[in-house]
Amino acid sequence: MDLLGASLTSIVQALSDKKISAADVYDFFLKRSKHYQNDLNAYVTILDKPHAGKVKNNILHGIPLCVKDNFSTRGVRTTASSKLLDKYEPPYESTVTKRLLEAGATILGKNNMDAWAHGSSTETSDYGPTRNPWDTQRAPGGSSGGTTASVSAYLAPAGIGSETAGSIRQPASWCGVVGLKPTYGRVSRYGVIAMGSSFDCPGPVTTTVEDAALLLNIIAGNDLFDATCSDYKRPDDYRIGMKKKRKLTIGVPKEYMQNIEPSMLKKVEEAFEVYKKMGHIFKSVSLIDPKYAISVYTILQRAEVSSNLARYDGVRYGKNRRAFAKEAKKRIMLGAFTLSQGFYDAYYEKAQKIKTLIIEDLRRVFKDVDVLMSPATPTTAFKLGEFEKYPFFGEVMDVLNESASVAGTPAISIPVGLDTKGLPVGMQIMGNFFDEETVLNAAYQFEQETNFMDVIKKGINNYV
Amino acid sequence: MSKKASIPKKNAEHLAKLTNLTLSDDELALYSKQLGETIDYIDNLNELNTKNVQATSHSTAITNVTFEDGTPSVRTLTQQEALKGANHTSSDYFAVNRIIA
Repeated sequence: MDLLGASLTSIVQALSDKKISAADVYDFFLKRSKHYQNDLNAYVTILDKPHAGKVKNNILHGIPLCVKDNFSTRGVRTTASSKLLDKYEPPYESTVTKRLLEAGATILGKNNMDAWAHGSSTETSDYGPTRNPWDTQRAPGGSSGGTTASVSAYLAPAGIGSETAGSIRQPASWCGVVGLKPTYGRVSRYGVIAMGSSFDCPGPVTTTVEDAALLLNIIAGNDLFDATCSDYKRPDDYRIGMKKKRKLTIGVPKEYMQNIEPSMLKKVEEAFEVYKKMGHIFKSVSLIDPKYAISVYTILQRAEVSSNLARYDGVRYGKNRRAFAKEAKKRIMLGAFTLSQGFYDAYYEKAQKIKTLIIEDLRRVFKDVDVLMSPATPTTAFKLGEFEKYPFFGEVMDVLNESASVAGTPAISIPVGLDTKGLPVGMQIMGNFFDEETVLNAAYQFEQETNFMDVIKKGINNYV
Repeated sequence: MSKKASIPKKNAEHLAKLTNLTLSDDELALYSKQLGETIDYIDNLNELNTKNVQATSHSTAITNVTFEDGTPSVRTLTQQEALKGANHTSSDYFAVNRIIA
């Protein structure tokens, strides 16, 4: 079997048919990961010997995955790309990785990320930036940039990233792969190094929509160890709803079509035309201007960062607080400010009230439409170093992703073409609470019709 | 957009103390400026009317999550496991700096 570019689903099938061995598959991806590490710096740690666990079912037998380095992996170095945790080896396994290992998958490596997931370019990593496989002078986006770069260059057949606001969708858009953020509480946060606990959400990064559904099947569901994880009913197999022939009502929020790079906007509008030709109905809708979601997110996330990072005292594990780099210190300071006496009502509580308004706004619009579509990001990939010129770089790059994160609704980024610079363009599909099925359905229909304009294939072919 | 480009250094020093961060003068100056810019930006929330709006902490609104009595504790670490990552230990305990002088 020619593995290069094969979907996760097809490798699962080939392994099950014994057309290829698990050892050969691991060896293939290990070699690629090592070979391109110097060019891309997509990993903090690459594992010569796979990280495996007790297997309960064999759905993913022999599949090596890459995982963002903020997922605790028992006995395997986990840094969150911060030197503070340079030598930290967690004594327990995160629920997400535990479920993947129980399904027979192994972990091939831990991906580079923005340190503590603070950023949108993977440049705040204490281990150096990851480079975008489409142009190594450019950033992959972030914070899950190491994971999206790995999947884009096919260093692993799929990966797991995490979002606080946009950290899966934005780098998926910049690297030209599929990135799904499930509903908040659909996937357990247990063992994920915490950033903004009321936002954090693990999710799959893949080369096909079906692969994303397959991984969601394994990681979604209630968890005793995460009190915010939901027992809301889920489909047994997301792939069934994904494959249904549905005619969808698609909303386009006009506030999300503004200030977009023209050649990016053009590709997204062409994608809309594809959907129209397939018989789906489009509706123009209006939502609260996403610039307010930036403010809500900035306040609530910084507050949660300052609380979550308070635990790093160098006593039980890790180095002391002097090991925090610039970005973490800045966020801790702002969080402490907005939570402090006299400012709490003006900032923190005000932001929580606007979170209510954003939730109500989305609930209202999802009465009339099945999904919302827009560009996933305002621009395609920036050059490395650009972010320092913009005080709100991350927030502005994630502007179109933040309302779903503040509200907790699911959304996906899929590639829909290349811009005039030859860089991938991502389109965002947002869905209603716990309706990952419809989001996947909309994404799958586009993939079936266009094969993502061959974007994913072209990306992998740069790394033969 | 910037009206009051930075917060007073005194306030930044106070925040550093509250958050147990040791910052240089350069860092204090930088964060004072960045904090000021951020606070200016987030002021735009006052453009939205939140009269009679309830605050939301968690979007999935789950409440009172508890373990049943007698739930087996499968997350317990052994003393050895718990101490494995510590830089300073003493007789199987974490060793910390003296707190009360």
